[in-house]
Amino acid sequence: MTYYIAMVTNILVLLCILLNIPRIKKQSILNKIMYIIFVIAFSVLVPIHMGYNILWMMRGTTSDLSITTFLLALLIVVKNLFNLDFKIFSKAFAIIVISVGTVLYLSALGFTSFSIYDVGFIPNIYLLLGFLVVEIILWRCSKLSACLWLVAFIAYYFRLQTSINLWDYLMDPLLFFVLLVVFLKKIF
Amino acid sequence: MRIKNIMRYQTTRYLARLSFLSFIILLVLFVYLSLYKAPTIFTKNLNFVTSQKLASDSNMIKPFFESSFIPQPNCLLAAHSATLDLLPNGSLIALWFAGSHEGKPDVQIWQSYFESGIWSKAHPIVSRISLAQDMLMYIKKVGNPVIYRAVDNTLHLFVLSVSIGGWSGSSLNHLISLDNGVSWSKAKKIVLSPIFNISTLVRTSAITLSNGGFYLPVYHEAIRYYPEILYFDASGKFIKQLRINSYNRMIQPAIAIDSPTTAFAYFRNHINSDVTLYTQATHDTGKTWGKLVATNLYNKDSSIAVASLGDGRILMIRNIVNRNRLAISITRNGYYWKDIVYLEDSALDGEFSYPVIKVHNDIVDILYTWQRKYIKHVRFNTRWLNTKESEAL
Repeated sequence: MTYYIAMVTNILVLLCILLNIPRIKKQSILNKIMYIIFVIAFSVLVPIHMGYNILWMMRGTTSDLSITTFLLALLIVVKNLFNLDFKIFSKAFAIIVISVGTVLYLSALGFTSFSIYDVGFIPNIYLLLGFLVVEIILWRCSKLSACLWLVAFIAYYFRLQTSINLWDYLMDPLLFFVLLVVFLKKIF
Repeated sequence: MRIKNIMRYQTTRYLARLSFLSFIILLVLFVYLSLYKAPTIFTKNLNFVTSQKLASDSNMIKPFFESSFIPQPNCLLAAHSATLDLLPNGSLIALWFAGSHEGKPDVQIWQSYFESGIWSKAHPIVSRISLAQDMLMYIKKVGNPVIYRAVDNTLHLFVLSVSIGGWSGSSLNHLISLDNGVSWSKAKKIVLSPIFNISTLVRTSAITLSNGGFYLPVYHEAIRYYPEILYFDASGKFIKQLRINSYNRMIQPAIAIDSPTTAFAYFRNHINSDVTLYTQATHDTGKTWGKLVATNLYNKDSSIAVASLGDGRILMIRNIVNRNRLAISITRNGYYWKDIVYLEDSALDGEFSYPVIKVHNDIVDILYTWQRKYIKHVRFNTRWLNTKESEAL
């Protein structure tokens, strides 16, 4: 299960990149589906380095991406495939992920004497209450973002990924950088 | 028409409130369930398991000291970073990494047994390909194995793997054996970092806890350096990690148990401008660690091994500044050490490094890297050690 979630997330990330290429963006749904099938077949079947396919290479490089990234990538793919018009990234969500992520990653690199990541292994009442407050704020600002983290939290409860740390379900560096770029773009 | 609009508006409002309410209920439910499911790791009675008291220094026991090399195939040009443990039948199991050169794709984890005074011919048990197939991801190289025999006799093997970059990009993999290393389970990745799970390295031996669980000392070395301990429960399941310090230079923590609640962690000092060997003590079974204290020894970025002798003394194997000299040192208080004897003393640019110690009954077994080519085994008894200690005074 953990393997399939990781692989599907990697495929979705690849599809996000593919469907955001301007030339492909303008294509019909049928053409887009053809491209998608090609990308999936290529990423699963074609070894690109020392016999490993791109999905295994991605998993080696980025480890397992978060459930939030999985859901966001899925939404982006659906949106771009069917040319739907709905807002995926909210400013509030970006601010929360960027601010929490900055502290989390700096502490994980050893810039602080304490480690926020350690708390995610056995979340205490304070972390969970904080999460609850963030969820209520997110619900007020962007229902979609609130639902994303709620699903990620449910996935954590069932330990659907290799990690047993709550943070790994909520965010990852890829999501952090994407949201940072989106946020900076919105500001400037 | 107006009534209809009002009704529709009211219904939408009620639905919005209902969805918000159900969202909150769901959230609270999962928060509650998470707390309910969360294991408690530190019970009041959690202690270290202190080593057995060594046999008395009776004159009946003759001092003995012997050494040998672990035989390995000729194709292996480089061997490094051995790990050692005692099996229930009294024999030893050793593992190390070897191949054409450290970090090369052909490097594998090799295993050998020491039975009836003879080492068996080494055979490979983990390679980068086997790890990649187990975990379904690209692996570039493997390194640093650490073995630990749990209270229930399950063997736990921790191996480093790197997919991208150098050793600082390592992640930790866990294998178990229920038949004394004859067969090993599929490797499982342990996620220990929020940044693509990179930079958790292992090198030093695990220590046993009174609840059947164990602490595995690990360290981080991407951008900044710091030591940690990983807590595993009695079933061998990883539960939590705890940071020992954040001084940005202390790696490869080697832990020696002093009493059921007290232990000393000694570190490889990664900063060359200060070659002091530092220690940190815990008096609450690893929950909190005290300040970094300098010992009277030097450490110039080389790995050390420590073990409690069970009689109040702690044994250390370490390099005397450079890696061409390897010494046995002893302390009685954890801070002041005395060099007892040199295991290796080469005037040339030799490398005798990465020691590991196993103390059992009256015997001390030591493995270390010999010139990066072989793994050397040294075995002696406490009578020999006591003789050397009295000679050194």
